[in-house]
Amino acid sequence: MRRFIWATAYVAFGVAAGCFSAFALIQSAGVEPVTGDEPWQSRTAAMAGPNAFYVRSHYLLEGRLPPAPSQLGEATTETDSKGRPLTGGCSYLITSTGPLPRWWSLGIVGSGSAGAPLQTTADSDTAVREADGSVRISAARDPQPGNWLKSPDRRSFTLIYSALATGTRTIDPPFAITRGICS
Amino acid sequence: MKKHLFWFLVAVVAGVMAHSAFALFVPGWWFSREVRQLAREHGKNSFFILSPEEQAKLFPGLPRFGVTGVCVFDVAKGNVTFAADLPDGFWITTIYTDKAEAIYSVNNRQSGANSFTVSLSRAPGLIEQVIKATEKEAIAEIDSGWTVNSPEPRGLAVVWYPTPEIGLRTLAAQQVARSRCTAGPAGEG
Repeated sequence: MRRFIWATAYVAFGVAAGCFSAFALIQSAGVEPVTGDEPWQSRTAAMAGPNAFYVRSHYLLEGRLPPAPSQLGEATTETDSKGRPLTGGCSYLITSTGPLPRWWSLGIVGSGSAGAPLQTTADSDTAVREADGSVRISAARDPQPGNWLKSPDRRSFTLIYSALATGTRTIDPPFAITRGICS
Repeated sequence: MKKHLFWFLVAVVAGVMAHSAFALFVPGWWFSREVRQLAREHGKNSFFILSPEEQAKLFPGLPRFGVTGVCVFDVAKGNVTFAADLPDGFWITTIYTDKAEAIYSVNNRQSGANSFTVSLSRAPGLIEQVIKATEKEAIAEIDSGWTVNSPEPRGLAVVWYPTPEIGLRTLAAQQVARSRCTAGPAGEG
């Protein structure tokens, strides 16, 4: 009986470790930091590399489709420009730091759930520009003047940046994220 | 000691098998549920416009004002024809397998036309390819429009048409909805 219990424990541990390692690899494979000082990361380049299988599995597990290859690029971040996690308990100011592409989109998704409530987005067609052509977007729970993305209540969230792709080069989101007031 | 070493090795083997099984089957099975749900609600081999909620689920990074049309195709029993009829402006059409592999993608500039036909068929297996290669007489196939071979029997043909404001979404959706997805080769039905 004791031998049976030990055997079961070993096998169960092995299976659990195997599943966990597969899940961790799927979530982390192909994630590359985008050049620059900002915390954006992208899987776009990895879609055509040796990790393509795991990168596609990431999208499958999230219940969504990857951006159309060589048409759209995508980058995400879960932290602000200082590396602090994005959370609905704080407000953020997302500011463009350079020239913007012809078409771009910035959206908020609640972390860890493909079934999260409808996310909010801002894009090149709807965002109001400043006098100097830059874009400033507030991410907060409550409505803000100007461009505003609604963040989830007191939950961590992810920013998704999409833009027209230029070949297979990873896109570089020209946005900095500054944390404002936290409640 | 030897006993524990033996069971440790068994655990490692079990871990490797579990890792492989998880990576190979779980993501595809998980996403297939979403695809089957779409097929149940909207039908297979028929073109429909996603609601903003469905669009947010499949493409969370895209603006809500855009129009996304989808055809959940099934080529297991025969070819499927996707006849796109899109309005002027920027659009992207992408064909994915139900394993999220993009097998074809084109935008309005690359296409050169807003109306085009894509014939979706199942990619021949290895044995079929060998048989075809050894046949002395090749059967002539009529090539009307583009042909896309899918390595999987099921997939999604997705059209994305962004609109600058929500007031134009309804009008754009009516125009994108003119596209058709039907079972059978192009020219039939």
